[in-house]
Amino acid sequence: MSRSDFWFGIGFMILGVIVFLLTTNMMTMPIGLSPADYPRVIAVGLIILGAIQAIQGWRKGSPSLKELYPSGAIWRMLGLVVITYVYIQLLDILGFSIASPLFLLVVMYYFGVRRPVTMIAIAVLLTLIIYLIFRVAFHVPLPRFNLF
Amino acid sequence: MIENILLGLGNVFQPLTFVLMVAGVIGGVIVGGLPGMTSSMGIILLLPLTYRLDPKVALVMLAGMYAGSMYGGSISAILLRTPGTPSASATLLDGYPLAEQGQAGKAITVATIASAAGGLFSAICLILIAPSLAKVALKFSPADYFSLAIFGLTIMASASGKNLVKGLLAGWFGLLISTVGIDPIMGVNRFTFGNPNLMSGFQLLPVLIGVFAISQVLVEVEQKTRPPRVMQELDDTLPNRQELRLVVPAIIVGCLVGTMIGVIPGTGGAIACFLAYDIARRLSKRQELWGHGALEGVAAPEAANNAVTGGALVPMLTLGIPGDVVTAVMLGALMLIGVQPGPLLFTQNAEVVYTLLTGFVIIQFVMLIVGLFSAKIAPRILSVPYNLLMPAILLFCVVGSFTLQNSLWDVKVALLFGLIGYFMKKHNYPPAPLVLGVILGPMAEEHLNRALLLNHNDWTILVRSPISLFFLILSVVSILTALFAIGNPVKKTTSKAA
Repeated sequence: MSRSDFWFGIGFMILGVIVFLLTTNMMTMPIGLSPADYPRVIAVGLIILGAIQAIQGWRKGSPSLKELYPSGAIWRMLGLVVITYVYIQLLDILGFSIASPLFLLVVMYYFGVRRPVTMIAIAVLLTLIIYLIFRVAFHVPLPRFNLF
Repeated sequence: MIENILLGLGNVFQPLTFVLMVAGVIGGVIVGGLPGMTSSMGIILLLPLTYRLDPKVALVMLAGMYAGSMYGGSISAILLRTPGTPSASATLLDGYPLAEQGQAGKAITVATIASAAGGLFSAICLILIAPSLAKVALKFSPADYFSLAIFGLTIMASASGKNLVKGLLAGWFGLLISTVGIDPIMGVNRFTFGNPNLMSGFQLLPVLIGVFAISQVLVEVEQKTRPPRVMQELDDTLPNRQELRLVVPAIIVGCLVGTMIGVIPGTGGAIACFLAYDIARRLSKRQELWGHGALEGVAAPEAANNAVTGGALVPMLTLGIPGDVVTAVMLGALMLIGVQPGPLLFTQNAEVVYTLLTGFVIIQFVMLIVGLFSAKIAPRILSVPYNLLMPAILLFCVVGSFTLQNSLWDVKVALLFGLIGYFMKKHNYPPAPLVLGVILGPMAEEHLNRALLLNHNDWTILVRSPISLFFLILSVVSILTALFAIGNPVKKTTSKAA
């Protein structure tokens, strides 16, 4: 058992309070909705619902974190997020045609593929197919090599 | 109406539209057949390809994906005892015992016939009901639209079953996300923190891609390897005349239950398939066989989950309120393509909507042919290696998010929402209310503002207008129903099978 639902509830309440505070400087209108009104209603809703969630989470408890995140699972997930973020950054420098096969090779390895020929063939083919669909068929400009 | 239907038929049989419609159905069958890949994910992955097409072509292709994936879910339910989509949860009750008896081919063929029948019945109902409902909805005032948006959110949250508070929190969080950017009334920056990228708010496509597709890849990466699947060869795929006669009543039950459940917003295929299974079993003369390999036990839920598709499109197209999770995604897809669902759709975009409606009828025949031809090779769909599929999906998610505005910012947004979607999955927060909050948030704010301006800040307009009051009462009822529904036998069965 864990208290994750309780902490999520508290988190939503804090988010609601922050949102409400951020709306205090927004202008008001004599008639109709002012820009702050709608977010304030949402903030109040988040605080109320967050409180209910926190109470429920405290009373009932939640599945244990070990059950939710088996050993090493969260690190594998975060590793993939980091790899994808680096790829997004590299897209701007190396361009789609160079960065994408490299990304695919790394991610396939990360997913446990160990056959070099399969990996290279899929990385190149998939990049080519996506390039042809978006660049050639739909005329969408994909990121290009850009050293400076 | 006849003229519009003929015009729609003409559009559907244009070579490009027809080819892409068939491709959508085939893609849907594959996506639906793979456990972990949902109909929503298939539609989202298809979106970057379709939003540059003519809306008529794009919509028919997306509808093909929708119907195909609903049917495809039965393949893994029958062969693996794992439903490809939640809507196929009841199919495994008799589908898997049939596979154990060496009759998987027959079960898949019956599932194909039942799915096509269910889809066809609901498509005809859709054509008959939707235009009339749209005419009624044309009389809605801004206050009515606001209450309708609130109703849309509450039904989606209440569909989360015992996680009602989590569903509401997800929906509220979606509403909050929709407020980021320049506000629609005064043009004031809200929650942009000086970041120019945030001035236009979070775009819908990266949010959809993140919450539904990237989050699934992040869940899959936790399993380093998947056990190899051993598939039996399918030889005897055709049921005989007597078996066909046995499944007809079950199909009829499935068609009726599925369409009716589909029309009720916030329900969906999972509820419909169990309800149809239960009713058809009670009406059956050989109840003792159910659960041990009765073909009717495959026919009823499969007819129902495909009948849901047409039914769920009724409130989505006419009111802009989705019938289930997948139509919530379809609603977003329509808006991205440039088609605004709602009553005006039938007057302003009659050609587009009738192409979709007639296309939906033709799709059922395409699905029948694709399903019957692919029954023998169905096990091969399940042998697709996930460690090659997931990297490909991730790359497609990145490219799909980028192509919306040719901006890497959108890709980062998709990754962020992938992470949010991952934690939502882990902690049982349903993703559909979040997406619905993002979609309905601006609509609710705009109409509430208009209602207050027209009525000199008189908030009582929300309860003075009968239609608005009706939707507000429905919202309260849907939440109360969800609160008291924990002992609902249908849900109990659902959780047992899952």
